[in-house]
Amino acid sequence: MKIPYSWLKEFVNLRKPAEQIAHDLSLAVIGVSGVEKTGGESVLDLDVTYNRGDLLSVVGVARELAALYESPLKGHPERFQPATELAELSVRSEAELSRLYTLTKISNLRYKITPKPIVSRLEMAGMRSVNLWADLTNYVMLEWGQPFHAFDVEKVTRRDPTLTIAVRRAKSGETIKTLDGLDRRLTGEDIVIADKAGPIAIAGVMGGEETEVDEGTTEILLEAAIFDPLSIRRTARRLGLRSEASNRFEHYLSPENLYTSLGKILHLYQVYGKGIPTGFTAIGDKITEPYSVGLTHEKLAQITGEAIPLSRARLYLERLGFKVMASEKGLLCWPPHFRGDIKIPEDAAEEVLRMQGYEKIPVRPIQTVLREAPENRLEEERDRVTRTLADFGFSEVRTYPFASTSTLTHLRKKDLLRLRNPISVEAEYLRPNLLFSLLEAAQKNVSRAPQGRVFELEKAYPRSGELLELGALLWGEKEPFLMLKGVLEELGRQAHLKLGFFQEKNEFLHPIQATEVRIGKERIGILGTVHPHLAEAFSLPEAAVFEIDFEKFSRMGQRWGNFRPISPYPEVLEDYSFVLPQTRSLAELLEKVRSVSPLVREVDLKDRFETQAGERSVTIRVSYQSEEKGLSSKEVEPIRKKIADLIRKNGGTPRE
Amino acid sequence: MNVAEAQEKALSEIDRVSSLPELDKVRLNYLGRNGIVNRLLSEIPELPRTEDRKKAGEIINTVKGRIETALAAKDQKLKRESLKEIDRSSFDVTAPGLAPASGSIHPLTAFREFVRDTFTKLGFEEVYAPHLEEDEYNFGLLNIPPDHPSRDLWDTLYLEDGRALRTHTSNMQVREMRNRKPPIRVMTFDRCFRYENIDPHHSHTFTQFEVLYVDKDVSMGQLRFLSDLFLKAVLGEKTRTRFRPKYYPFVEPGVGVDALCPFCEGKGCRICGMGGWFEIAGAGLVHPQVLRNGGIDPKEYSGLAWGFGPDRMLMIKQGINDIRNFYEGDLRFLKQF
Repeated sequence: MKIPYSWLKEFVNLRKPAEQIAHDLSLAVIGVSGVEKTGGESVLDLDVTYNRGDLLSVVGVARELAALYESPLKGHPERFQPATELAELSVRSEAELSRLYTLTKISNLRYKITPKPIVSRLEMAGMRSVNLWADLTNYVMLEWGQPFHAFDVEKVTRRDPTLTIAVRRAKSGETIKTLDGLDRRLTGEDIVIADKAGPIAIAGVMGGEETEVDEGTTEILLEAAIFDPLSIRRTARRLGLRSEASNRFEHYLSPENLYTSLGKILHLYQVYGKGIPTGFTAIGDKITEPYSVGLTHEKLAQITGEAIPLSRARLYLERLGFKVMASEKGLLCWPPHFRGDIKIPEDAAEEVLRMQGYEKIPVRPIQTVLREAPENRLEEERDRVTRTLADFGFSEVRTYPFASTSTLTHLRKKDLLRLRNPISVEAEYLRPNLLFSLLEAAQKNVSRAPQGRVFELEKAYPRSGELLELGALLWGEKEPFLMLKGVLEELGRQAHLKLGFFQEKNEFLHPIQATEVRIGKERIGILGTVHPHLAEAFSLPEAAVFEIDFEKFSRMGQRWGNFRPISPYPEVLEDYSFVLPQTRSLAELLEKVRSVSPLVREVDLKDRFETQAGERSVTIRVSYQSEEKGLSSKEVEPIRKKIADLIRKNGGTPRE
Repeated sequence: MNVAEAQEKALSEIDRVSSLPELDKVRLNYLGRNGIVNRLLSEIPELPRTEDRKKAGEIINTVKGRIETALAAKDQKLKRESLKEIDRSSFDVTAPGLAPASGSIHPLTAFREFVRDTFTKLGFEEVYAPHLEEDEYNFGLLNIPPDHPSRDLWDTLYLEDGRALRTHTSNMQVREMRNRKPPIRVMTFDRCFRYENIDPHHSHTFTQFEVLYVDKDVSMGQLRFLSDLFLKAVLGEKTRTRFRPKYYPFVEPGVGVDALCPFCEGKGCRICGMGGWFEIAGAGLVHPQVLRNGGIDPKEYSGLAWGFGPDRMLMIKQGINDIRNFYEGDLRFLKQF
């Protein structure tokens, strides 16, 4: 809401510069996004929120300033009192559609062009001048917050000589040509103003072209109403016709304010257009049913954190237009008619606080009983894994949750969650995994970083439900699969988990170098070399990726592993070198060697290379150790033989 | 070679060597398992007379002792010399160290840990709520009924099935209240989404941090305490905070929390847009209806909610000028953290 400073001064004495007023408003009333200078005048731009519809008017803001500066409100016109001799108009309306509907007939109009000061104020407030009759409705709306609409009586009479006006729901499929010259198709949800020939306005949203006032108009029907806010809101949104008027109808409007602003506008029609009221009808609530909100001393003290004397609270509330009575328990507060937002004691307390100044709220430490804090394994593991991966040379990325168009070509849309109102094609589908986000991140960097490591710990959104995933990708390194596998195994080892890797087909991974990752029998994710075609599509050299369900991982991970005492006796180390084809499982062999005898303490892969013939050559180191005595070569001999047999049986050919 | 020759040769070789490895070679050659001295000893049994064998043994052992002494002396000498050598050597200690392969932790993650630690000390417990959320938890139970004009505060992204991409972390509030009994002290630091085009200052994906505290006699004074405490921890001891009226349907009263600009200390500078203050957090006392929706009796308990946008706070704190830096995975940005 834009308000020229001089307009405010009509209603309250202000001596401070506009910038200071803006500052005071922002600390005690409502946000001010700025003060503009237009043609020597300062214009305040307020960010009015839903609860404070009363501030969508010059008078509303002036009232607050008057309360804040303890200055009287001035220039307040009388409530319109329709003279008894005014003719009754034929109007029908229902409370459900319009809480209060009034029509005033103004006759004897003589057109003049709109006076300069009015045009300039409309423009500063962001509206444009149309003609005097329409300009006055907008002017009073800006000043009082109550929208008006003027119909040309002659044009309506041409359609319906009986001049019978009804506020009703539109019939589905009914149409109206609105002021902007467009034909609008209506639904049963919309409220219209209609004569016997059909709609002449979409209530609260826009008038019809056919009954528009113009320079030739000599008699008008002036509508001032309070429509059902939600209905106006739905219609205005559906038709894309949100205006200053419809915006105000969406907020709280009061009958009292309607009558006062009606008084003001009739006065202006008389001053500028020589018009006199000749007919009037009002249907609905003519006053706000008074209601009170109780504010106890205890409540006020609890909310503030400090006892505020009720006498002071009362003073603040009265300045804001509340009627206040002392009761047994505290204060009974009747909000002024324009404050539809005051409903509960907390609302009244807020008024007291902001009038007192929020800077006066005391600082009150939180004092409370210490409780047992439950262990949060997810957070512990998140911190640990993040740190470990960073130490291993991975950079953490945090990427958008969507599947961009360049990734969609690799996915089946029917497997994805789609947005009903996407911002763009790049943000239309939710990502089903982190893989593609990581590929995109790598692609972004590959021209500068021919090799790199990234990871992300965030949610993915497969159709089955959102999942917290840990994904890591490395590219441009030698043997990426084994490199990344080593990283994942180490993450598992630190959480005292033994991860299992089982070859499986995955459309995004290399046809052979692709595995399912398990903890025990539970599948937790995948590890593999990125499918060469996919890597190429993202301009990447050979790359490897893993993606695991992090909630499962952290739930199964252990803080403490098992301890084994260090034997005081020396260990015997022996190396076995052999050739093992890639078709045979090294992991299985190592496992078997490990369990060949209780004297085998550890089995490690010591060396691994490709022979000139292209075969895999492996050296394993076995350590033998007893916890009871030193081992002699003789005692190791039978184990040695078993291991050699195992190697042969599992496809190994001893070297040397 | 006889014993005398061996001794002479050994002593002269020891005399001639000029390095420790060479000395080791000499030692091995004479005193090793298959060295000359052992070979001479092994020839002793071939002597026919016991007396001779005894004598030869004594002689050879004497020679062995001399060689050992000479070796030890030479060893000491060489070590002394090499120390002098070190003194004369040169090495550029200012040359950069050989870097380990190090990665980086995303600034929002590092910040998350900091924030979480700060509030953990106050007894707040980390909780989580769905990103894909029922309308009820994101809006309805927070006093934001369907079609209500206050929904204009949030430009919401919806799934085809009607669920919303949560617009704020406040969707945890009623969930947590329903699952717990007061006193409740929970916090969450997570992603939210809005219908927003991306530019340097806006993003459809962003982060929020929020705490919820429900207890007896929770007050605006405590809200002030939390705001001061936290903003001082982040922006420095000199920071001051202030409240302004602000409307959120799920709190009453609702306030915007401003922090004094840490760069100009309120004088007004380019970074704070000349205002001297930053709007940094939103907060308020939990609306009694929201407490009721969470199964808590507002006559007995009250609550506060306090939240801020870590993206924006980090941007201010670190002088980051484009929010997209956080989400677009450029290693030139990420590796700086």
